[in-house]
Amino acid sequence: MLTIHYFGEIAEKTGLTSEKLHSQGQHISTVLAELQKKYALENGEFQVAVNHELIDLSQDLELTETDEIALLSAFAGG
Amino acid sequence: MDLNARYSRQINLPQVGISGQEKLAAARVLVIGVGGLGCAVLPYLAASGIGYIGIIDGDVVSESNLHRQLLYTAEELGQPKVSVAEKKLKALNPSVQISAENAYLTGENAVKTIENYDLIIDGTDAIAARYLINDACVLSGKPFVHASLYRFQVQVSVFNYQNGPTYRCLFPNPSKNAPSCAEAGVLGTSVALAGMLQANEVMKMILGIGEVLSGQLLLKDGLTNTQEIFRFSTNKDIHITTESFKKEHQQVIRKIDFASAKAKKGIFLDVRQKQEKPTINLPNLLQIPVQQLRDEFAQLPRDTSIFIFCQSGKRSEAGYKLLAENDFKNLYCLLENAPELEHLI
Repeated sequence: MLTIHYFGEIAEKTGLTSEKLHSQGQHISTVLAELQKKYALENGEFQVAVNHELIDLSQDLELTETDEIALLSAFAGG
Repeated sequence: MDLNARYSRQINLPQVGISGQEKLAAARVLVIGVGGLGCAVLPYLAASGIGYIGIIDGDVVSESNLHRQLLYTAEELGQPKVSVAEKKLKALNPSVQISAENAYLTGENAVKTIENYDLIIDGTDAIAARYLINDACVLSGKPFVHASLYRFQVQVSVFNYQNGPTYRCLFPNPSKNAPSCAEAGVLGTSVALAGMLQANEVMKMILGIGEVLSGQLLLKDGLTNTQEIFRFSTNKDIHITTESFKKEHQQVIRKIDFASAKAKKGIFLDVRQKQEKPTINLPNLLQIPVQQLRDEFAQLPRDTSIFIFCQSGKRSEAGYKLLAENDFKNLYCLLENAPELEHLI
């Protein structure tokens, strides 16, 4: 199972701080497209980390079952 | 004053010593924004004996600041924040030199201000200001310590440190609408926590000890006490130049009145939604809502003037900036917007 973590405003939109997804040999683009559709997240609204490393989305990473994905967005407050 | 007595507890640390104390005394640190973050960071910087501290903020003390900005009291409502902060910090440690500037950081003053310091602390509360600081720090070759909040969550990182990645490497295109603390709400303890993490990075950077949060985003949740570090590296496609800085941060919006615009060659661009009233009818009019503008550049002429309007002037300015960033020339915002134009046509 993949684990997806949400932070900040993204977590407000999903209504969750994390969830688990079934994945079999999926690419990150497929998972993200699914999440964007499910939660109405816009392109460019967040950055993606896989196993705590920010990834370049132009390279469509193939995920493994135990990967942890995090959706990160900029915070403004101070 | 006996320096050894005042600073003995930190000098006693093997990682600090007399040489560390001298490094602190020689350091020049700028804190941009003396709000929640600034008020948390500053007393610790001053008390530690950092030699020269700059503060810049154009705001005055207001009542809604008092629950988290502990440099201020109810007696000081309405006074410039930097003046009050300077007085408090001087009292806390008279040997520290404070330079207080009662102004906001802008595209005009940012590089000039930042150049005078070794290290910058971002204590602002708006995404645009964070980009301005990033870009000015890159142009001046200065590292800066970032902290930001969303409710109970805190992000901390150090950018542009020893050629390390910048804020743009982490967030190349963040939402410009991320809410400030005023909009989202914040506890004093959350912002103080963020400020302490920033001050701690400052200490490590000046003393040359420990591991600095360069290329790392620390994300801490005050509700669950969990924290995570995300790693990121330099994005080689991002280049900040004097030119790009000017374009993004020093834009002057050209305005024109309807009569003069009509006399010139060009098209009128209505950036409102289609159903908005009053409907404006002009022969050379394009109607593209500002949200869709980015996808419709091909529709717009690059060889003639574009006169932009909306309902109040706010969206037309946003449209102007977007088009200017994308190399459209001959742009103008109309002084009159739809409600006024209706009567002029």
